Amino acid sequence: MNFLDLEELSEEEKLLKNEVHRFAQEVVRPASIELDRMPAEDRIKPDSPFFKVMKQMKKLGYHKIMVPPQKGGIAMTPLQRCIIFEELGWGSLGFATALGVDMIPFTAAALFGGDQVYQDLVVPWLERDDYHGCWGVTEPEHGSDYLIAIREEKETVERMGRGNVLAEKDGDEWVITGQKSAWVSSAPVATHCGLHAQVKGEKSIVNGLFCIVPLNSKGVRKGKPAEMLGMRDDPQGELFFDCVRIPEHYVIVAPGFFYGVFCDQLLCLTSCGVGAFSVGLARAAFEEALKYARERIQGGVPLVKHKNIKLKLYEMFEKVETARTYVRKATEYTHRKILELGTNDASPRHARAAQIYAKKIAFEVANDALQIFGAYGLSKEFIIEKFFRDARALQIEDGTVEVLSLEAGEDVIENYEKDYYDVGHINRWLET
Amino acid sequence: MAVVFPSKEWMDELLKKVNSDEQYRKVAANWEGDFLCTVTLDSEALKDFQNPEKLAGFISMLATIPKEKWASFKGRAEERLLSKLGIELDPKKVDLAKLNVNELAKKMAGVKLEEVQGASINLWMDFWHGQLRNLEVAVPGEKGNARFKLIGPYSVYKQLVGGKADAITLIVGGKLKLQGDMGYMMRNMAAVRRFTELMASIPIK
Repeated sequence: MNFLDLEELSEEEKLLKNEVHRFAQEVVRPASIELDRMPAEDRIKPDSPFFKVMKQMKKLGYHKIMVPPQKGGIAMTPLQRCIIFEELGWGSLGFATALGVDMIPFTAAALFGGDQVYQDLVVPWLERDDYHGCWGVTEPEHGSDYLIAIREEKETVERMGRGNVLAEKDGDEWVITGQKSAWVSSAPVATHCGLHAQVKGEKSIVNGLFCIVPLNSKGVRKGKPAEMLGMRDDPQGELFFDCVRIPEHYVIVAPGFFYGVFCDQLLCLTSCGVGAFSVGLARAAFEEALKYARERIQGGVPLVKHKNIKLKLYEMFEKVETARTYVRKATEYTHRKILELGTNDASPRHARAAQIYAKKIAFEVANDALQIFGAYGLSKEFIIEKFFRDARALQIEDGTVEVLSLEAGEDVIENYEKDYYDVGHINRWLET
Repeated sequence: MAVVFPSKEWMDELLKKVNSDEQYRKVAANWEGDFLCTVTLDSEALKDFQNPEKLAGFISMLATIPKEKWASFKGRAEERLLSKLGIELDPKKVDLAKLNVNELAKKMAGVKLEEVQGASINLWMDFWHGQLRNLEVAVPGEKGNARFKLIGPYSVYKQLVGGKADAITLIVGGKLKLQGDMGYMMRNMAAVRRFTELMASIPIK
């Protein structure tokens, strides 16, 4: 469905939007529906539609859009990235997420890793279509703890206990041991994991590192793919590490001050991405509802003639528009700071707001859309029930809305008046 | 023109680069703070210094140290290194500008890392409001209260000055250790970035 974009897109941007939308409509969405209805075990088989679509996305180069051109990426503006993410989110939240988590280990390595890891891992990922990344954060005893720990009081973090994945230096290697929980997006289909691990012997998960673990390494085991309510088009599952050895240069972010900065800034990037996916999902639900309400006759007239439906549709439109505008603005600032200037001083509270707000409205819009569909909305006959399940999953995926809001709230309370990125919260950790 | 790192020529070139860069002047307009860069000599340094040109560069840096400060090296790894080369750090007995570097380079081949473990070169850089006011070699114990300290092995510094890796990558990856007021550093990352870009833009032999 075409719509007026207040950004007044250039011809180049319109072309990009149309190309990604066509791909989302003709390839991504049909595959996502097929995957959604498949048992978890079948979704990860080599002939699964998941791999076919991911290979096509790689052929189109979508995985390279966050990598600077001088490192083999595709030159893009923040707005262009937002357009791609929104259109993919419109097609499928699962595939958009799969692309997002695929980028994390390799883009982090391109931005912060040395030449050796770039040659070993980033170059093949850029050039081949059979490398797939995932982001190992969530743990059985630490659902969203990693996202909030760095701004929390020391006592609270100590109560969180030891991390479930530990890393220990042994000569010129690191040894990884432990488990990530069943909610690691793309874990069952990934070849590499961008992994957060606590350094063995340190006090808490804040004292960690970020590394890349090839998932064909000795000692890595994958759990069964999980059967989830929503976002079933991106398989999720556990990762187990039994004394897995990685070379030192696969540690992209060493323990210390910059691990704190990295976690903060990486979450800025992912927040903008998830924000744009959420806008796409919300728009998809809104457009389905609008189309349906124009056609469906109730009480002798189309649904759109009913005042309550008109009001509902307007509210949905308002939410999609405000979320898109804010997500784009936050992305422009965040990408400039991290990807263009390389100063890594984006504003956590503003980036989190993009994710939190867009996630919330995505659920509200999907919920209202389903209501407009009535009982048909509950049936598998229409895609709206999938949007609703995906939007519900969004309230938990990539950090629960509550934890993200608490974390952003801390930043607001401590730093609202500051026009720069303050790292006082990280320094406090180093002092203790 | 390509220069040797480390060398007096490289120091002069860096000073010139920074102080003539309009972009640096702009982004570092509010920067106040000095850096003490400690380059610890590793096996790659000992190997590189077997090249007479590179050894000459290293000695040219040492020669910038006022003779009255030479005593600071007494009993330290740097003195041991020079002694292995047959250089006695006594202002009355040696003129660093007149050494036969070809002969000394040959002797470098016999120097083992464990014999000179801990030897380092300290570079002090005084940045002030968009200018690099001063760049000099600091002797042990000198400039210890610098606002920032950047510590790492020669091989890693070589990657940095040669443009093979940027400072942020090396620091984030733990290859270089940065100490100091990190809040101030993060507020001035644009200045730090531009400086390291300028440093990496000097062609190295």
